[in-house]
Amino acid sequence: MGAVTGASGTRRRPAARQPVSRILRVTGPLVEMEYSGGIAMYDLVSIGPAGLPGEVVAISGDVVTVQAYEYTGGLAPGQTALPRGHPLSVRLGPELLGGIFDGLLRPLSGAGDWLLPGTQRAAAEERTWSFSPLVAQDEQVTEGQTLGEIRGAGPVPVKVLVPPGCRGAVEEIAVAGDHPREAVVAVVDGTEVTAGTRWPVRRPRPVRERVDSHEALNTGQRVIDLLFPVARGSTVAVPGGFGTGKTVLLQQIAKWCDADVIVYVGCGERGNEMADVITELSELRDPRTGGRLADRTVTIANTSNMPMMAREASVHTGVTVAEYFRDMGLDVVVIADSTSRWAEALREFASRTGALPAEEGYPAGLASAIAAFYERAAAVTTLGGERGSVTVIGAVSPPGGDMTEPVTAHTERFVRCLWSLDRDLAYARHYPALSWAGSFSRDVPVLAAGHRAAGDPAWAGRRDRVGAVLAEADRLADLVELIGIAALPARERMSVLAGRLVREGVLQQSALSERDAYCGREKTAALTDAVLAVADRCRELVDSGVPAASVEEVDFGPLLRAREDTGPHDIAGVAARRDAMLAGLGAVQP
Amino acid sequence: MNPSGSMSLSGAIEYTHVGELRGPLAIVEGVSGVGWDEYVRITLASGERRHGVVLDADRDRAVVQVLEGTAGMDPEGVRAAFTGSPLRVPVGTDWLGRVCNGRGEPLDGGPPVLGSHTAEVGGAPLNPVRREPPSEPVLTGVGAVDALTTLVRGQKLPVFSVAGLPHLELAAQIAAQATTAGEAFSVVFAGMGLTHADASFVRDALEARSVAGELVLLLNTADDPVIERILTPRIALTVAEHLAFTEARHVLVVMTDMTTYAEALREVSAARGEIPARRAYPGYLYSDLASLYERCGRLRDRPGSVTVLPVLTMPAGDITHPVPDLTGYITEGQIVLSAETHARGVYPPLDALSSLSRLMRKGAGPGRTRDDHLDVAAQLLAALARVRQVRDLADLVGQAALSPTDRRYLDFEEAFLWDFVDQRSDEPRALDASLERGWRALLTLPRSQLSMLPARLLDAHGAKGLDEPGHPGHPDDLDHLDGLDGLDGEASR
Amino acid sequence: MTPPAPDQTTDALHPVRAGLLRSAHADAAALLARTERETAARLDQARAEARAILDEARRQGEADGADAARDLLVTARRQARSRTLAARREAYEELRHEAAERVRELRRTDGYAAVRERLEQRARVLLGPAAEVSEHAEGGVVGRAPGKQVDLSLTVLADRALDRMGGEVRSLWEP
Repeated sequence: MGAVTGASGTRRRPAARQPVSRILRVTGPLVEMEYSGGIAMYDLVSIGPAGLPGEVVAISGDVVTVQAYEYTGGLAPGQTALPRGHPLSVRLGPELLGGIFDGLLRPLSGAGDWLLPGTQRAAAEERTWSFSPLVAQDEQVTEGQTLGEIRGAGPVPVKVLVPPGCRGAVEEIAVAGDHPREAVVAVVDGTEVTAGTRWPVRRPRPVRERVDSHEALNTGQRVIDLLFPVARGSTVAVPGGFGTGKTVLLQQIAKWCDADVIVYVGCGERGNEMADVITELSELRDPRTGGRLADRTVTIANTSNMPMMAREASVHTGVTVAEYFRDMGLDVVVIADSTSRWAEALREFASRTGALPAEEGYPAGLASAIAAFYERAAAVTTLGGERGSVTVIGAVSPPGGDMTEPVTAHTERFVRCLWSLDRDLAYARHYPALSWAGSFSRDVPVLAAGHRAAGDPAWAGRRDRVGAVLAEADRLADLVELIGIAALPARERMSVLAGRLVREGVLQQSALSERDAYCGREKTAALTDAVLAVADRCRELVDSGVPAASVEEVDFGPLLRAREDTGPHDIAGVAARRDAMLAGLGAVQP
Repeated sequence: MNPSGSMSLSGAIEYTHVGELRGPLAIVEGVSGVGWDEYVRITLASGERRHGVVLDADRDRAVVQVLEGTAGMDPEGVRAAFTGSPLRVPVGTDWLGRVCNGRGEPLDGGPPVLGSHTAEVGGAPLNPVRREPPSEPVLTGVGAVDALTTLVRGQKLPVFSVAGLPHLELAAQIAAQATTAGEAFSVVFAGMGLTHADASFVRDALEARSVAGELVLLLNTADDPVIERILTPRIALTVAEHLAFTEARHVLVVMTDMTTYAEALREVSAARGEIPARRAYPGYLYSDLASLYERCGRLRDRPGSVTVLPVLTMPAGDITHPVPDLTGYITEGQIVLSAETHARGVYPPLDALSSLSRLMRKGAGPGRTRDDHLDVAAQLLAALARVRQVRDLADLVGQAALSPTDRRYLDFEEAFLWDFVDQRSDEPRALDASLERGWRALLTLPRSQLSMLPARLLDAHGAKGLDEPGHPGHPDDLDHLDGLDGLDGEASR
Repeated sequence: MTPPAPDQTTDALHPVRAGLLRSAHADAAALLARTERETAARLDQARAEARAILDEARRQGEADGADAARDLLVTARRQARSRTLAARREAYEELRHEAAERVRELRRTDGYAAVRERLEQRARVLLGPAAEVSEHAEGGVVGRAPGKQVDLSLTVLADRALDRMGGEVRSLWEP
């Protein structure tokens, strides 16, 4: 692997100097320039006097086509472009945690009020990092192995790893202490290793092997953890029309799920919303570490009015950042809101290059592009032999709520979980508006085994019961609409009641309530069990001759409010409310 | 206005070799140093002036889209001068009180709008990190809007309507009445594809605001060049951004009708031979709309705000049509107008249940508007949702079979529509008055139905049980005279 | 966002420009003051009429009076506003006219030969040495080359110089 040079672990071509090229044509983000040698597909190019970043997307004869990542207004034929000799890559390092970046991972914190094209965004303030070596001089190391740790960057130590493809003796290792980001902290077999690294965003970082995951990602959202759980390293799509609370749900997961690092990619979404996420994350505390939630989060903000082409890159950038942390043996969640905007950027560019359009103008390669993106999610054994995972959660925004449109339809095929948001539920103010009929999780079987192994054998049975209660209540709801509740037999009226109790007492969850926004796994189980126990008791009552109407008139408020009245882990509180409710029902007379 | 590029050397050269005219496109040959998206001034042999934008800068050819179209153009004698940059407009307070066409040229008989600075009309994206989350209201003086879908400074809140509804009246009323609690406030009104009758209606309705130097009016009429419509909202927003973030004003930008705008965009896209997406709109419609709507906001450490109120008609009332659909994905809520309410003669014909201001929680309530505001709004909507169920039930079983409580809901709806929502289109209503009307409507319901309101407030307003006698009094009609007092006040300003 | 720096050619016009704005100021001030007096008087009159209509309507218990009064005021205000704007426009156009006149007078000065020389040079810089350069009827030059031309006539240069003054011109009507 002699081609590996520098600290980045990326292979660079030997050409040391790239000749300057002349721009021939500019039409929107599509720039044609002369082929001047030393240019490869997907290489980065600095275009024009402002040095706009762009990526080579076609080379034909002596003309190179470049996709510019920023607005090209004023760019003229005759101006120069400088091929950079390497593909679009990003700087990865400890400064990512708690940071906010654009789609090309340029820091936004130091940039001005307006983002002008090509401005060299001030790199995040260069600071030093506290490094502690974990290997000794002359020790034999292999790729992916930990050379040392950086502390103080966030809630988790950031590891400095032997770059992929590099192995041998540690020739030099820095002493413990503060080092600037670009300082060489180790030399392994002639390769210099710095605290940070660079990686091309379109190339998945290598792993030793992909493994099956039996461990659930706890999201703190009851409807998900109970009914449509997701395994670490799995993939989720969240389709939902506007106003269905998609962004709120994703933000809840970003805040409360039990991953080590969250990469939040705001891809073509609202600016005010991003501002809100940023503000909230820096105010909230991580219940597990006590630190700021922002410190475990990397935010990539590419709002809808920021350049569309950088939006295309932003999802790849996000996954690359996730893989970087995964390789340290961490569980990482990538949240991309919204992949539809990313697909639109693909379509936009394809149409400019004159690619043959398939459905609704999307390029024929749409399905494979979506598949490739989700495929970067995995639970793995890292090169260094540790367990790590990248879970990808992608929002989908179907135009006109049409679930048959290409992006939604293709995405459904490639993901393991689908959390479908339903407009009718949202309209009825049932949040999260996750449709139990329209969602699925293919991770359920492995997670049931995982829960069993983790000492919760009742998990699968509980899930099945809740599913059955909801299905029965839905079936009866259609009937009720036709003939009215009073016409139903008492037992069925209790099924309708059970459905309501499950929906309002378990599935609904208030993102605004301090106690309810996040729900521990044990509390989800306790609440579910409590509601099911009460539903069972109601049924026993009507079986014993109590009129259904008398049961329906009971004030179930204390039970339904248990989710908000008790803390996120307060099982005892839930049990107390369950017992009070059951006692109250005992007083209902035939 | 003098749209001007930087006066580079290239600005002085006029190219005379037009190789091809096709649709709205003119292909100018033999050019050098011409950039993409550059603004072009075209002079015809007759001396007539037209304008254009570079769509494709290909070696020594420039494909120019002529805003006014190529009708009547003879390639012989055409001269094209490239301004050296994308369209820039002067910015500054000189715009206030002016009425211009969709390209910013005066319609009011005044001199061109001048400014010591110019800005690119395309704008630049606000850095999301520098944004300040919106948190204070803009009061529109339209009771139902202020009470139920409070507009928040820095928000983008569209009005969804259908043809035949008074959305233009509502837009004009909001533009005429909106205020921000005594802080410097201005309105930029961009009309796109308006009929002459509508344009003149808007001018009349906003006259007072214009004379007071608080309004910029840009009017692109239905017979103006279609492509010019693409510039109109951009000029409006560029002017607004400067008034807000440099001149420290709270600025409300009203843009109507965005469907007409999108149609212009579609027309341009078709002329460029682009591959169409949904319903033949270009694939970049989302990004294009976002590049307008997202120019609203507030900035940390800067005074002022830009609030955007786009108005759009849903073709055939279809909310899944690309324009309302994509708008809904970008904006923070929507104000929906209802043909049914309009048919009952209520103005503004708000469909309150479908309307929503996502930022209302941040801009209304304690410390923002009034302590009981959010509770009253939530209770009104909850009651309205129940009204809908009761109506369905009444259709099924007949009104006579309704329970006493349910019948009260029908009374509530009457009071809601006629006392709370209904308002004259020239009547500014204070938020306090609107909330009191909201209370009056709610008090038609028995107290047991008002669970979202705290007992203390129910007591203070004298909420009664179902069986207690004494319905709240009827609305007095005195406030019809308010308008005249306002008129007099303005007159003596 | 900043105005472009004046280039060499218009530097020649600089003294003209400064003097011009000074004298235009005096003219405009008089014009605008007169307009303001007139419009104020008209508005007062309209207000009085509107009030009379309102009073009459109130006496007769009619509601229509309000609309009539409002229309009357709207019309009066619009007229007042458009008179002010028209006066500004007049001042502005007078300035342009004056500028063109003064620049044309350059032709009769001793410096004109040098100015013309510079303009001719400029035309060749823009169009290439082979450009054909001819005198413009109103002074200055016009350069032509295949496919392109430059108009460096004094009138056009004066116009451009004024355009560049941008906000400065506003001082005509803004104290």
